[in-house]
Amino acid sequence: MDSRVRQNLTHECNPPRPRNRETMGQRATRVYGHISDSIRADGGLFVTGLALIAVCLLLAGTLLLGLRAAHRAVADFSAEPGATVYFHPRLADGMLQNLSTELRQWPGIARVTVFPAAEPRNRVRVAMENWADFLNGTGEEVCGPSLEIELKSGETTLEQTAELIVKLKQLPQADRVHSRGEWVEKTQLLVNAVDYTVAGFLTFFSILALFIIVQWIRAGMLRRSDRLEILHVLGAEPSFVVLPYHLEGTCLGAAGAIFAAALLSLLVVMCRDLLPSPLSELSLPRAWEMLLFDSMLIAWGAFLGFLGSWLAFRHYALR
Amino acid sequence: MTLKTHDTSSSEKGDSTALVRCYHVEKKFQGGPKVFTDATVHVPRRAVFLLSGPAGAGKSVFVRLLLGLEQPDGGQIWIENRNLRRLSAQDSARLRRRTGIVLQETGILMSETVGANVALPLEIIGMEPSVAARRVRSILRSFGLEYRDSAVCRNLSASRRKLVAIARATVHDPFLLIADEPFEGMDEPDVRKAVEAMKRLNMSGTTLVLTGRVDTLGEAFPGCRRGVIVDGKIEEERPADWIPA
Repeated sequence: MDSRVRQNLTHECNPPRPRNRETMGQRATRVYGHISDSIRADGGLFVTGLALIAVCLLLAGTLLLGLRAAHRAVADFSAEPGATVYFHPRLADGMLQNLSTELRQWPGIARVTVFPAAEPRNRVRVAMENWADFLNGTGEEVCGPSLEIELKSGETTLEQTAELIVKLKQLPQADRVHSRGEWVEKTQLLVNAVDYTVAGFLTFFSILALFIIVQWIRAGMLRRSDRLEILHVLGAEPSFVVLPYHLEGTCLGAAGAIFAAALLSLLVVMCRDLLPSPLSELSLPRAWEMLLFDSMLIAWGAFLGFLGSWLAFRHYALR
Repeated sequence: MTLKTHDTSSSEKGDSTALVRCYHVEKKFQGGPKVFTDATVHVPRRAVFLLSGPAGAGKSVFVRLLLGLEQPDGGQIWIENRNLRRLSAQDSARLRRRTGIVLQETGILMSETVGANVALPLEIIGMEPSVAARRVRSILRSFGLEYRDSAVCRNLSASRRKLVAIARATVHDPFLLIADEPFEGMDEPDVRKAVEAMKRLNMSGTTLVLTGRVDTLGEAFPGCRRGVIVDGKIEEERPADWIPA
């Protein structure tokens, strides 16, 4: 058969169809129309949903910041050595080094760490012990030089430890000696409990926000059930149908998170003004940290929004 | 203006080049009697096939089977040499995108305008808005709906809604038009417009599969291939006014 005839026949049987593809602009217009239609359909419900999501994420963010502050405050406790010897503030650094060298020779001592005067790492613990001094001053006057002593685990009995403490107290220029006590372990337990509680609340608030987003998307699906059915019959690809819903969910989650982040930043600024300087510096995040935290919160909100719309639509995508 | 329609001789029955081929199709819904027990039918390319039968005989089920919205319990349905049973959901949707569809329950978006409804298939295939708008305008003009472009469908009469549904089914120049009772409840002038549009489509190469009452369809498309659903089977009959191609 002549190739031209064959070509004509093929053309007749399978006429070429223009291969169209939705452009980004078309997609953006469609999504914008979809979202504005959702807001117009029930503005009150939209505002309520957005406010609830913002509150959930705000509470989650506040809890996270609180947890961070608690961790910073008790950061040293988990590394609490067997004992800490605080010396007179005027003890020379050279003398401190000599003492540390001498202590390393003692039996039962695994490691000795030297902290010169006004070492920031120790401020927190010192502050916990002398709370009033800490709040009234800069904290520097209570930060004398210290040696942190780690005992060999399993090799030292309680009696030997007590003996060691007595010997440490007799060191020249030694102000006071703090040994690992029950309170350190209890604090550690408390921090663990706080960790789990905060993790639980975070999960709860995230699930609550997710639930609100899923319900919002489902309400939209119900309102547009005719359209969804018609689009399915007309052969629209699932991606064509679900894209506006996914973006709606993501925008809703992100918008809630933006409100939450703004409120959280305001809260931090207020707390910074209210709390005394050393405490606020210790417990509140710095500006760049807050920026990072806000970004993460918005990203989390957007992710929850996407997940919510995906959960609401997973049956449609599968059919 | 009277437009002719394409038709082909009955020798094409069973021909693998036929656009729509149904072999021994069976369909039963849970808790109900068998809708189809052994339905076999072939619709050649560019033909007009009219399917009729009493109410509840299974005309709409047959349409849904052809569209791949229902799966047959037995037998095979081939469209464009593709077995619908073996098509993935995505391929089935792709086939529907190229098909003109008119469902019995109109299937138009009541809260949207006539223009938006007619543009829907073009939007789905991602046609450029300016081109789509031109195409929609031209289709609306051919259906006499050009002044109703921005009217909300809810405010239209039932007959006009049906006309919008038919306009939507023809806007993307489908290779196959499947219409379930397209003229049911339509006014005489609207039926005329719809029939003329369908004939034009058929002349340009589109195969038509229409269901409905035998008198309405027979009058609108004289001399076309016909089928009647009887006891779960499709009996093809050659009308007295049958005109071979």
